[in-house]
Amino acid sequence: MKQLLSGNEAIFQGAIRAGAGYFAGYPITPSSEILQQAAARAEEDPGFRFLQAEDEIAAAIATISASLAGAKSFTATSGPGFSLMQEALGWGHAVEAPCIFVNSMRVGPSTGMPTQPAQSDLLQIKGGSAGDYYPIAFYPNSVEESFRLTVTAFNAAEESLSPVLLLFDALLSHLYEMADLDAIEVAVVPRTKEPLGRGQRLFTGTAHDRMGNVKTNDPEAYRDWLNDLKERHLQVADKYPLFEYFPGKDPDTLLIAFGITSRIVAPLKERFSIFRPIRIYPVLEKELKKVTQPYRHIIVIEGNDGQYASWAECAISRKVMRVPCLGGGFKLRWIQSQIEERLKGR
Amino acid sequence: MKPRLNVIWNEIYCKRCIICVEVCPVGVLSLEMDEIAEKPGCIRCYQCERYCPDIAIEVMDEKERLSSEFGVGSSEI
Amino acid sequence: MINRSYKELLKMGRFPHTWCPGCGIGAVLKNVAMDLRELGWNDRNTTVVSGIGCSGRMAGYMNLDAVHTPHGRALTAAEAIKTVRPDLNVVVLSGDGDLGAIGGNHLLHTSRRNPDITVFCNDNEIYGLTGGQAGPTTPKGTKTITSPRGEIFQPLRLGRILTTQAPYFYARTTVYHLNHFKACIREALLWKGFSFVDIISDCIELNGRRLGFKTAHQMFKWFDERFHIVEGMRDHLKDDELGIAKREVEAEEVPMGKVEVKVEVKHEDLKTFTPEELKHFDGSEGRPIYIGYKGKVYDISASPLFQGEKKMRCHIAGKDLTKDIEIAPHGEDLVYHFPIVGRLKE
Repeated sequence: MKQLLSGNEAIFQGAIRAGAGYFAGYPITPSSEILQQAAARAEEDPGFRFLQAEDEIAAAIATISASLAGAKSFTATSGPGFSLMQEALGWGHAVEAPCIFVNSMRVGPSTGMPTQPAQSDLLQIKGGSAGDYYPIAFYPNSVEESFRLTVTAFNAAEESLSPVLLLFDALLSHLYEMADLDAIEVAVVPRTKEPLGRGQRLFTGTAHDRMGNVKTNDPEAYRDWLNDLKERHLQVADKYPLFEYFPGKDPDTLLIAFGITSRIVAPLKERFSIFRPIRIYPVLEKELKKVTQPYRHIIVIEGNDGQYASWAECAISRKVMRVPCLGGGFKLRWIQSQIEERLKGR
Repeated sequence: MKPRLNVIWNEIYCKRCIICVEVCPVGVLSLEMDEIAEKPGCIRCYQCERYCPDIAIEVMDEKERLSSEFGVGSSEI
Repeated sequence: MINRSYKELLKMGRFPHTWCPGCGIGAVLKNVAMDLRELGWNDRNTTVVSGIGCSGRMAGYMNLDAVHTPHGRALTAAEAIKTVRPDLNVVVLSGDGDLGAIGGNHLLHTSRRNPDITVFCNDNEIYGLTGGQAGPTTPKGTKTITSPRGEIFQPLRLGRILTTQAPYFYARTTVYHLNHFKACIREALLWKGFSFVDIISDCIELNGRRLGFKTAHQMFKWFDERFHIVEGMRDHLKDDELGIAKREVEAEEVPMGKVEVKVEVKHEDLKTFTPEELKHFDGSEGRPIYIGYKGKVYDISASPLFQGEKKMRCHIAGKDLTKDIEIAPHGEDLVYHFPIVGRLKE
């Protein structure tokens, strides 16, 4: 049955569909509704546990620990909270805990603009926590896709045994659209990792070998372990090479936009080709190379100062142009004028 | 593992912290030449074993002690 | 005979363990393992959670599924695990810095949410693993690397913080007072709810030596001087007392201040008691408990302090307490709540 629901509601429903049994979070605009739905759910469903933690650090640690204990778990936050969760994310990768971290991005840095959308936490995905780790991140652009991608994210988490990121933003969180969730069929990957209480394993953030023994002085054991992890994560990411490509009339210009920006520039589809990455990280290198190849001009339109653009440049070994939509300014007219300016005289 | 008169001392686990030496109420233990030595007089109070943080010293069971002291099998007791 | 089966709960293959000669953590690990073994707790029904620090290494030595969290987050992890898996016994092995400084916020909130977990705090009043910096429980005046002229701040009083509101279970003991230590471990493990054992422990290498101690045993003697054991049921512990302070529910709110005696009983009309007669009313054989104060005799049988079997151990029963109450911390107001039943014969 079709219903009107918000992005935050779609994410929560997606989590339930995926079999989520634990949510820990902290109130923060614009993701608080996910926390609140979790609280309501916990009241009526004994199989669903909820914690409003004292801070985001606790929320993140609790999410990962609940996963180790056997629950499909998730948390939701925004930029400042996501910043607090970074250490825990590194730990989640080290102990190989399948879970979801939702980041509904808003203008930063720091407190920034709590109610204005942004897409400026991309570099943080990869570089927020200390050390090398290989996160997988998805970013939907509609309420219905939010539902689907949440289940996809949970699946990718189970397969990669890691905290998978679901990127979101302040606009999408509170955007209301019609969707028929019951009609959406999407496979759910079950939990296979053995929970606590089944062995004598040590789940630790300290460097360890593949057997779980602490090895703080062995470069070879570390390399083996990290390469295993990397390979597994990249293999899982390859199972989800999600994107959309709309060839337009102009054979020379390709726009790259994702999340809420892709919705805003959608009217430009007639004129320009648009590439919309849905899997944001690892970067869709193969796909970008193929799609960008025939175009002379590539313009990345994003709610930050060129974060995805820098990744795209790396991936295709070519310079791209940038239209940074900063401070919550995503007006289509302005974006159009910026595109015209970039293309002037070319 | 090195048996003494009443205790068995684990030279690998032992870190020579000498808690056992200092906690022994009859002072029969000592650290000599980097080893825990025992002179006669042990009252088998188990304090050395109880206090050792490294599980490096244990009081022999009665049977073990007698057989090690007299070099005879336990059936002789 | 002494039971050595506790070794089955320890990874003896990793001995000698990592801690310094004489370190109290060895004692904590060993005695906790002993009690877990005696209670029949094992890798099928128990999990341990450690934080970061020398104390945090304990998790790696137990033959159980164990979780080694980032610094300060052990309580959060333990709480989440217990929520998802009420079937598991959850034990936290951590230290003063991990629980009291970086983990301080979690200490406040996890304790108030009262999950059924047991926390063992190896309180060596220092940051040992990182070389001997002052910690949150380092006594004022202590010389450490970061307080070269003596710690200028007052320490955190864990005992006071954790006993502000029922329910609570706070035990303080030392690695030297071994029988008391074992009793505290047992009671804490069996307590239904959040239980905390503050184990005053020795860090001879990174703390003791700087303070002038040559051996761990000398630090034990120092603990013996600084603390003394108090027996019996307590609501609170003074800062130099070793014992157990526990409470399941808040006591009835007793209004402070003098209570007006509504019915004026003339002094001459009160039944007189001689000291011998007063002594008779000591609570035994169903008799009420009377005390004398400032010429009057009060019936204190209804006091919550002397219910059930505690009646038998009421050491003040049947006595004239005029002098005692004058120097008692609570003051004479407490006496006036109780009914007057007579007067003392002059």
